[in-house]
Amino acid sequence: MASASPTRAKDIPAKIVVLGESAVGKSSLALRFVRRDFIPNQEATIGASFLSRSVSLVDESPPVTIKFEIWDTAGQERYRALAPMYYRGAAGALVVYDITSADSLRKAESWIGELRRNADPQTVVVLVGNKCDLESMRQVSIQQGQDLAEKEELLFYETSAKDGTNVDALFTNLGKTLLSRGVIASGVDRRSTMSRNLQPPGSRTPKSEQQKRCDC
Amino acid sequence: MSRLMPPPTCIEQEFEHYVLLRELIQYMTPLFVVSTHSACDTNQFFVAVPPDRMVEDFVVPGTSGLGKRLFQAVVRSHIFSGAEESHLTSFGGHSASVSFAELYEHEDSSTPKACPYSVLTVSSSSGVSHSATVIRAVRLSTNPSFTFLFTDLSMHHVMPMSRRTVASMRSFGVSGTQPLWQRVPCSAMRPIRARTNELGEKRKDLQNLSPKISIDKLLAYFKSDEQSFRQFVVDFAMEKGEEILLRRTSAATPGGSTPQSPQSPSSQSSVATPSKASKHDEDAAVVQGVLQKSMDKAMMFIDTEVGIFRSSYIVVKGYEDFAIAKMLQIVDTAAELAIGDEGEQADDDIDDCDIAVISQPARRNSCESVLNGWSEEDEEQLGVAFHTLVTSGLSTKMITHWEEINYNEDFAFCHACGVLRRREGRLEELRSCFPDLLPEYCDQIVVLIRLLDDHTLSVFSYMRIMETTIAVAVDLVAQSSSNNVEVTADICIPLIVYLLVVTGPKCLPSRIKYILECCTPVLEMSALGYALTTFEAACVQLLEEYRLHVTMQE
Repeated sequence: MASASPTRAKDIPAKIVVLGESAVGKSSLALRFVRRDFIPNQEATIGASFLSRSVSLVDESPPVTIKFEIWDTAGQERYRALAPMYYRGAAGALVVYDITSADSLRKAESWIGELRRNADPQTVVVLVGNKCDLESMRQVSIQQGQDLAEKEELLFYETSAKDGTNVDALFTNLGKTLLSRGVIASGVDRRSTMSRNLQPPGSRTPKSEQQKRCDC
Repeated sequence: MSRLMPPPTCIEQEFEHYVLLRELIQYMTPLFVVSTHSACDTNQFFVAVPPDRMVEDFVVPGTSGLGKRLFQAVVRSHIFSGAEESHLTSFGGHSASVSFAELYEHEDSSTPKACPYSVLTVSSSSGVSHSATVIRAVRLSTNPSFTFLFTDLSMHHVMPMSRRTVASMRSFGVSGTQPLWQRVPCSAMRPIRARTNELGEKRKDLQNLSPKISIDKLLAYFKSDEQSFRQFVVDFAMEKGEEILLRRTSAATPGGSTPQSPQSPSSQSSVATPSKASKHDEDAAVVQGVLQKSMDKAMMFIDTEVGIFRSSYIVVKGYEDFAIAKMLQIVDTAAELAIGDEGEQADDDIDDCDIAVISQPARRNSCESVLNGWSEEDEEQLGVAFHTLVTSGLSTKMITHWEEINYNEDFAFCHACGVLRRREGRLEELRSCFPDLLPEYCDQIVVLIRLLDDHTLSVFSYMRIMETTIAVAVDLVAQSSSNNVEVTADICIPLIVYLLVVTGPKCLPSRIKYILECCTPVLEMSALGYALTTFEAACVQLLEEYRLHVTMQE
């Protein structure tokens, strides 16, 4: 008999979490990506913390549209322990550092380690060196960023939230990688879209999170 | 005669047990496997029983009385109501089979009570297997073909058979526009925003402000928003009917030109094609009739099931997963009824169609159009609407239970808020991120946060309250700030921590746990999910601040 099949392609949602030290330009990067083509009814609902933008990948066969749901996080050190709550279920993570601060790269390295330990192994991590427009103040070379990305097997981009350099390319390639690695896909089982996993009692909090809380 | 009657307390106790058992069996039937196995005698049925002393007391040999009879009657009515094995093992479309690793009596004669069924393996349709140790097997005295298998605590691991595999990225979303459920108006926002603007304008003249909005009024707003989901479902069916017709007609028209709406006055000008117009009307009637009927079925199912749940189910401590499973099952089944993705339903709908003037093939075409007209988005949107209605209907029962089991956490959180609030200088320290915000401006937000203590709202509404709280707070900070800065995530957490300390909600930890357990992936990934996560993070941070404060004092 006839079965209910989707009548039109729908946007594929992808939760992207933005991590990094304070003042490296996480929010600016997300804002640059989302508000470049500003559409009034796509205005962020919660300040600049939760942002959303759809991107069509026409090169894909068939063409698909990915809806990036960007979750910004607090960069201050004191809120670092809260990050796992934000990257729970994320398809991608942007670990941002500031090319004018060598210290921010070291912090980014620790973020990557933390993601490796606690996040879903399927999560695609991108190392982003922001503020590449400030060439004269550069403290981190492109090579250093690339080396770290290669060592950790990450995607790597240098961007400028100020002038928009590489911002679109970053998200477009992130979308393609998510698709090619099967992290996101359309046509998810209908039932799974409505219900959630049932887990044994006491096992809802991720282990890493539980451990963190205990340590406090 | 009266001496033989048990005292009233016993009757009440029996009744309580009956209700409890009924609930357990209700859950066990779909969740805990009844199956035959090729190695067993034919028509052998097994029920795996989770560790529960009360159930055990009713089943083990030697017990008798009303309780046992009731229990057996309940078992029969629930277990044997299915005519085939497939009826007994299905849960939300997932089937499970049972195999026994060891089917024979234990060889060691020194352990005569050893169970012949030592290990039970359950394989779900997704290929995941889970095992449980069987500690005792008891045959039902009234029907020897029926055996209970008592399991130890590892039985909990069998539960994943009812898990639905959710891909790491769940589908929800929009095609260029907001999902319909996000367009359900948040009527509470209007007065709050107006009040916030008023505060912004009159910040130097606080005594002239109009009275603040009462918590009752805000609660009424959110409740009415929940009820508007009923109308939303009806409107959704009508909207979908129109869409299906337009798509079908444009597909039939060469060049795919958009047809004129049957209601449009301009359609009257096409005098040359009256038969086409009348056919369109017929089609519209059939498609909308089929859709409406499906929606009615789904709504009736929800009302009935929610009513049964509220009147006869007890959420047992330690078995909360069952309650959630039942709740989500109601949502899923309602969505299936509404979408009508089973072939038989299409035939039923065609046969039941009351419009006699329309030919059978035409009806069949229309029904197939309806069946093929659903997109994933539609299913998700209906899922959210049904989820809201179900969780709203069951909120009192569920939330009260969650408050009971999380009493200690709630108490500790409330205490921490009180200590931080009373401690001199602590609030100012917390406000260091947003120094321009005057505490007097937070009164509306405080009222909003207090709404989270209410236990009659749906999961959707609680998440919406959180989202509204953050949105209003962020607005206030942006208005208060002299530099008109963009409020980013760096400010969100300290802002919410500050507001929570000022408000001191009584049940926030239990509320967050409840929402996390009952939330759907669709909501979890949206802005509502972000708000929930921010509140969760703020709670953890607040307790951290409290620990820091206590440590410093020591």
